[in-house]
Amino acid sequence: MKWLSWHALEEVIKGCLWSIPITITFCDVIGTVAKVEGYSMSPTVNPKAGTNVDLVWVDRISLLFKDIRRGEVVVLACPYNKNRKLIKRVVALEGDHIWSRTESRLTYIPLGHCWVEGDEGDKSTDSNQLGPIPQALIEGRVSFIIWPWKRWGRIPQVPQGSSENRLIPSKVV
Amino acid sequence: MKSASQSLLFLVKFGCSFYVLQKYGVEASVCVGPSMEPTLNAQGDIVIFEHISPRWGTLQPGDVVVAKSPSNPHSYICKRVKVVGDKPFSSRFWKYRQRTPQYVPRGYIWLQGDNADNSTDSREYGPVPEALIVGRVFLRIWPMSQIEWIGRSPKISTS
Repeated sequence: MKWLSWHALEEVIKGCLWSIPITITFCDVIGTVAKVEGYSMSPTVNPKAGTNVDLVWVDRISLLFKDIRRGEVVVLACPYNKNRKLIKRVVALEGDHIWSRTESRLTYIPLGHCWVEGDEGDKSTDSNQLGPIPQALIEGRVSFIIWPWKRWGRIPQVPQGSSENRLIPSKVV
Repeated sequence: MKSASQSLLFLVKFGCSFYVLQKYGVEASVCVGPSMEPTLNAQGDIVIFEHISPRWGTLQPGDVVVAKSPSNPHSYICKRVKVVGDKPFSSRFWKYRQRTPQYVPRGYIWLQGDNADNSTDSREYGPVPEALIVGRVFLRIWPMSQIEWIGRSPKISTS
């Protein structure tokens, strides 16, 4: 009987060890759950009224075959701190011009870059401070809230009114 | 005789382990282009790079790195680190298009190709966020006649 239980323990340990590379690969390639901190994307995500911290699904796999479009909510690595992630909405793409929210400055978005903003301007560290950011910093799309239950569902992936009237899109769509 | 599901499980285990070893450890790649001549050949070299230095933030000036291109999210660039940023962040570097290695904010890296005349690098697209750097090149394994460690000193052109 002792011999059988050692074998079973060995199998359990092997299973746990194998789950590590499998989980890492899944989270990197397919997607992962993330907790959103801060209010820069309220009321879409983490509305100020509530005390909940939203959980969202970060979709990675679609980045491999679908290009970023204006209006999409994305997770990106923070340009000045690689260990921090930001969640923002893509407001302008390469070739566009945009008036920044804070200083009424017209900026051209260079090749391979984009302009991101939080829906809630006051609380947001975004392109208004950091400038156009390389699209290569984008790590996933956020299209779904999975917690809290009452706001479960898709996040609208459309440009918000506050940014639409500051955008001058490029001639080539 | 292994069943189909056992073979599939083996493939998943092997594939994921290989992925993790590559993306978090050591990876091989082809570097093509004139921007790192004479250190790397324009026709293409196979190099080995490690993902540990960028993650731990231990990159130094002189390191040859592979990074995601700021001009094209689907491609990669291979350049040498000239400056590791340490200045406090100020938005003037993008607002006024001040492109100088004298001002590189913390969290950013100034990249430059060894072949300065034929290289698109930070002189065009400005300092690059550290998050874009994926690995440090340390060894060339092809062409076989030029197997060598890639270190912090560029090769001096003899032409």
